[in-house]
Amino acid sequence: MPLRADEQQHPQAFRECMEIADDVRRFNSLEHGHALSSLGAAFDSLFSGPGKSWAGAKSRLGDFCSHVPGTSNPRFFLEPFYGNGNEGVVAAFCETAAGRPVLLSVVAFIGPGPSDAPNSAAARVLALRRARQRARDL
Amino acid sequence: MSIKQTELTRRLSGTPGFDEGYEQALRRQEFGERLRKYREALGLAQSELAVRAGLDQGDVSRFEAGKWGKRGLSFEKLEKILPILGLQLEHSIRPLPEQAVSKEMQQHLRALSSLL
Repeated sequence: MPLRADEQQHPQAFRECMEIADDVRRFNSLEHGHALSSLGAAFDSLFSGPGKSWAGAKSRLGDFCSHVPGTSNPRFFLEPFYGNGNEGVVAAFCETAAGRPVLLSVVAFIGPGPSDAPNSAAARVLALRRARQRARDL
Repeated sequence: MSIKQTELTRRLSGTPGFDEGYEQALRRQEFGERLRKYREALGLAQSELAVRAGLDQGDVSRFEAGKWGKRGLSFEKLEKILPILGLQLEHSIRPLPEQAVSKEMQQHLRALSSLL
């Protein structure tokens, strides 16, 4: 189903965040709670522009995420967000031709969740693959 | 510019570790903004600051966005950047406000301060 033009994240990315949060509660995995908070603060800064718009917001994707080389329309960005240790989450975003950021996938790594990636490199691969698939809904 | 919470972070609020981590992340964003203002006041591009400090432009970009830890700001990197901005790092440790610590901890701190 196509995403609305003002959608901040893909619904499956939203669901992934909630599933990671559920795992944090279930396994008391505080590192992943911290990693989610770093991602969350960065995410909010993308949408804190005047009015409800991402335009003129505090941050742009390129401020804290790495652009995936070779991607132009949409441009994909990947970034790991760590807790206080080695554990964390990888977030994949894209930036549409109009410059709107969209969170497309979130994958936890070194976590207790059954679907977590074993390390950040594996999480990046998985997050980007999902992002590319979901970008078709833009 | 103040941060507006999105639906995503409102829903994540209450997750163990999230709220205190979120507050900390916002403080780090403010700190990064201050660094950016100092850099801009000197008319330095991120890339120029990075070269002078022996870092990557991505590092500077991440500091200014408030990222610490792995792939972000550390005291070591901060010590490279601050002198270029005409600043220095001042380390200080202060007790938490009394209401934020237990009575037992308050007694412990009082005993400690008498030793210093």
